Amino acid sequence: MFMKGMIMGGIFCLVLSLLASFNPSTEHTTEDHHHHHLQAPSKDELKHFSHSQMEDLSNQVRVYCIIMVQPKILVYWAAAIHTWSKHCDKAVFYTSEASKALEAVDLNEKDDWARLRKALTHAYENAGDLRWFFVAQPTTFAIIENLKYLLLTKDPNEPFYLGNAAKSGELDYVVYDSGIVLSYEALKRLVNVFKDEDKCPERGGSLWNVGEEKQLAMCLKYTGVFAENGEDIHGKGLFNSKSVESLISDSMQANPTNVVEGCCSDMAVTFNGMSPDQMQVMMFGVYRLRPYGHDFHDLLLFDPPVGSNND
Amino acid sequence: MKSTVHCKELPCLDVSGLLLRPAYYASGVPDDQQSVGVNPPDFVLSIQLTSQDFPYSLQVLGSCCFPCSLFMVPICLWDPKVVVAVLNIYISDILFGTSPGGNQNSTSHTTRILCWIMTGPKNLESRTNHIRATWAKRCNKVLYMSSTKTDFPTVELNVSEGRENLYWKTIRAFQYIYQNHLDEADWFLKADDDTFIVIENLRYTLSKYDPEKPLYVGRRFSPFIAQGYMSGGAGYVLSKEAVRRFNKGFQTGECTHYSTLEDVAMGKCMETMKVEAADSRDVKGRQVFHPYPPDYYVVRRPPRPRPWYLLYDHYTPVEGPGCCSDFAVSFHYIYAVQMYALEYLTHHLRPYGYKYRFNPDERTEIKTTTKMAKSKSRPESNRESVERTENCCSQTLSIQPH
Repeated sequence: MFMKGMIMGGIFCLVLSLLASFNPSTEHTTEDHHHHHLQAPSKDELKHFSHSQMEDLSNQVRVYCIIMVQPKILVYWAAAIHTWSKHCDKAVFYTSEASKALEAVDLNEKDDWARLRKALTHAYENAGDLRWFFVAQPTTFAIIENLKYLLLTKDPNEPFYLGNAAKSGELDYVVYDSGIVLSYEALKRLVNVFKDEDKCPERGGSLWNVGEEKQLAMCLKYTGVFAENGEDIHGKGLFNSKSVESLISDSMQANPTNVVEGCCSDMAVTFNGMSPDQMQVMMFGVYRLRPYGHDFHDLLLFDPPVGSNND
Repeated sequence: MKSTVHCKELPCLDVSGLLLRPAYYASGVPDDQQSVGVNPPDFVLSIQLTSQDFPYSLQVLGSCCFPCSLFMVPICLWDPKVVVAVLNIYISDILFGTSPGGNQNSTSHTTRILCWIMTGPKNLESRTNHIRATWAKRCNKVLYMSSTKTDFPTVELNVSEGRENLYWKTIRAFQYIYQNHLDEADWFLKADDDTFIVIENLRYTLSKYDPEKPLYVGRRFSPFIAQGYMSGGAGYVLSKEAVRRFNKGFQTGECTHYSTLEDVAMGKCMETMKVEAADSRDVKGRQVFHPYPPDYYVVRRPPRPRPWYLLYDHYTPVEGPGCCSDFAVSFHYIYAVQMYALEYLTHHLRPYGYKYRFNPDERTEIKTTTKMAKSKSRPESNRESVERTENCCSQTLSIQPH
């Protein structure tokens, strides 16, 4: 009787421990992406690379920009065409419906989440040899060179999903209007999970009344991809949901004696909520206006875009 | 005294504190025919030092010193012993002491700028405070001129506040400067408490002029005065000689309180005292001083007759991206938030690795060797400077006492 009890207990224990270790979710890759913060490389880090390695790296960080537009915000659409998107290696505009004025991939889709899915799928299928994807809204302003710097030493064959990371309950997600960055691997997994109507339904938005940024996070989570916050080497966020003036205004309240240092990163990647005119001023402010005599000796060199005259 | 230089991989030596007047010219062309912006195949960097400690004028002949910018002499051309011997303690501090960029508090002996800001008690906290927190610290000297003395600190001008008194304030301010601070600077900037200034770019703009000549620099307007006058709001600069003449004008009665329009009245006195109105535009003809915020100029417009805010311009204004120099000096009607925003955009936010289209110092493009193949990404610039030193270090260094 005693032996039977021991054996039963032993088996019970074994079964329990087996159940506990059984993790139904996912493939984690060797690099654990649960650390939530993704920092730009430091100058020292980059010094170790040889000339040809740097060439390879700079080829690898080429970016496919996915810009979601609609005819009703034509002025922003035009602003994106004539300003920051010229710095993308490939910039594709995805619209909800065709516009006679401007060219775009017409997804013919009113639902925001369904539209985003279609755009991402199209981008994946047309990526060519581009390995990084940047999703922007029309009110986003991006500095692609700084995005490339952030991604420089990251392998796009690993799943990366980053931007301004926020939390909603238990879900970490990347805020849409400050830009979403996806590596090739993340996008590949995403496009695959789109086929799963249980985990990632196409009409999920209407079902759960959750914005597309959170839907994206949920679908990616199923594939083992987690949101990370893009930061500079000082830990300052690089993706901003506000305009420069708005951030400065906040800093004047929070750090009145150190407004500029307490504000935004020198290597900021995105801002949001700037008017088309302000975006033109940003082009001047970012790509032209500077104090004479400061040489940075950056380790990479990005040529200005061909056929552009405002940068 | 000639010595052959030895090549070493050393950082650039910042001689901006020692440079009076950079001169780029093809070898053989005399000193007074200098012109910045010309691209000769070889260049001579002439450094003249006025301090009694440095009695030598140094001339370096070569064409390879690209990695360093205008006021930086690459040490590849110098034997450190020679440098130390000739340039004394200043150099050893830079070479072996703090980093070259760290000389924030060293006064530039060359293009020293005294900034005076026209303000009043009402604006000290809401406006002038933010100037003090941003660009004022880059002036060699800054004075805040007001109707009352305060601990801000402000200088009391013995003039009451108000638009009609702006010219009185200007007269009194320049008198005060003439009596108390004339020797502390070469150039004297007047700015409003809602003007944003990029001092480094002002230095660069002024570096092509001689402060002992009677010169007046700013955004040139046409009406009312034959040679034109400079917009007050955009900020204007008087050379040391111009300040002397301005004061003399009031002493002798040649200049009077001509108008309550401060900038027009200043223009009148400048004309009377034969102070020359300069063309401050950059080598591409783009404006450098701006009487309005950037969005007035930079935003693309369809071709149209001049809007009201461009009507006075002496030089035909350009609207859209070609309006404004990369090395713009001023914008006006800039209040607290925009002041910090411009500070951020100018001195902080930048596109990593971006090769700016406008590079006035890139002279070696003309004499590139086959080794200098252009590629989309470049390695550390230091490696390139080693390649170039092979060329330049065969040059001789000549040092002539004077």
